Amino acid sequence: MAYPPFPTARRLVSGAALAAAAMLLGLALAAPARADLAAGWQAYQAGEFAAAMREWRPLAEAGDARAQFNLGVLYDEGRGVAIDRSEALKWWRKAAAQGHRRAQHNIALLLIAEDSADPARTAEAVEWLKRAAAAGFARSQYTLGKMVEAGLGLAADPVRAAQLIAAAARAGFFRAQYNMGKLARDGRGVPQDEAQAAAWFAKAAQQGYAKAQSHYGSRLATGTGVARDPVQALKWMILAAAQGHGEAAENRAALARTMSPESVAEAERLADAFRAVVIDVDSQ
Amino acid sequence: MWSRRRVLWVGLAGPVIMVSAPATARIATDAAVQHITWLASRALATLRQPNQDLAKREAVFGKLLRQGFDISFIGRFVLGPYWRRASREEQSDYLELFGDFLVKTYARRLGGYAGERFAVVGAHEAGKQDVVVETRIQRPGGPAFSAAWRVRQIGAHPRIIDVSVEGVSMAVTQRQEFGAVVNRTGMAGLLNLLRARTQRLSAVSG
Repeated sequence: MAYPPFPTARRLVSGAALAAAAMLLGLALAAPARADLAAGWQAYQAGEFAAAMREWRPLAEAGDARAQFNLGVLYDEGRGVAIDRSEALKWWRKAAAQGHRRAQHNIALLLIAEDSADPARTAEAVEWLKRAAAAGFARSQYTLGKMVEAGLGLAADPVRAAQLIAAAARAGFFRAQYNMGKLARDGRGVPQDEAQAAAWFAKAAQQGYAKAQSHYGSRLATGTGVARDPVQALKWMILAAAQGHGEAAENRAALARTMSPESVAEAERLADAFRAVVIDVDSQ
Repeated sequence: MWSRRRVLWVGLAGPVIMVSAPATARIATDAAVQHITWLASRALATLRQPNQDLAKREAVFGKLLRQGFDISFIGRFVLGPYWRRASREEQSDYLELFGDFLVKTYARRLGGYAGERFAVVGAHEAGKQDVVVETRIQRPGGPAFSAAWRVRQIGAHPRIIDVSVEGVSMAVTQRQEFGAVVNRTGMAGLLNLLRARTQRLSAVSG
């Protein structure tokens, strides 16, 4: 960046320039907080994490829950700053106290991640998950549901686990949809129902989830809970295998051997044309 | 006939020795270095894509990096005797989450973000089959990120089978930790821990 030579710069410092600067400063101070959050977001997107922190910190200190959450993320991920998990927790707690569901969710996960053996921390994590889940946050409903399913941090309760996971699945969370497929398949917490299982796997498969694509493909191949359709089956197996799913790759090869070249080509065309439609549950 | 994925565990009074059969030739140092530099170049190419949000760019690179590891190989070593005791679905869930964990923990050491400079600073043979490639990321206004990537030829491809940071092996560390977690809270507890480590939510625009 080229700077003007010093003598020219001095000439610019005039009364008019000072008045203009004061006016601009006034405008800047009056500008809505959203502008700074957005400026931080732009910097974050560009990978300029230190700049993002500079934008978000004053907002966070002034009590903006979104900025507090974002600052916590920078500390948690070590972006623009060294990783500092206690700073992350500190900022997330401030946001969580204001009802910020993502912050509540992240606190819970961080407490579990750092020391899963400590019952006090697990208990606190469960409380935050319960709060966010009660507020309708799908990810927390899912995480809590998995813990209830396994009896981690609270008593095992298959019916309650299925209710929580189903709530997240209905909201569109792909992991919850996949898990509902398994619960329905196995009759755990819900009545055993192969058609329901297939329907849930199908939803998660549409979102691009490889394991669900593999499960759904296998069901289509054998006609379990869904009408037998080898071409669709092969399509899903191709998609799952393309994402590195080993079992799907094996199933794909086995199924293709039983099909005509035209059918295989049709399945490949369908796989090629597929576009995953991912549901964003976090902004709900 | 041993498939390449059969692993023979030899328990001694000392540390567990990992032997895989059949014996493969050592990977050429150049090939190992190329594998790592290629991953770093892909990090650069994908992370600097304009007009695509950061989460998406990182997901694209993450998928690629997963393929650069032999996740099944590392995952099974790390889980040790608990692998065989786990159900097929637990194994599948574990490998998916473990892959997420590897990417989340080590992707940053391949660089690709604004102002970062990646360099290979050394490569040496290790054990009977492997080459360790040492790398460093220079970051503006921050300490350098180093890593030592242990690379082995597995089938037709070079694969990362361990990462060390400041001399500490990830595979060995995680094996100790995961064993303790499974002992205490079972596979469900380990999967919960891995979810907690890999599924925290990222920054919001508003």
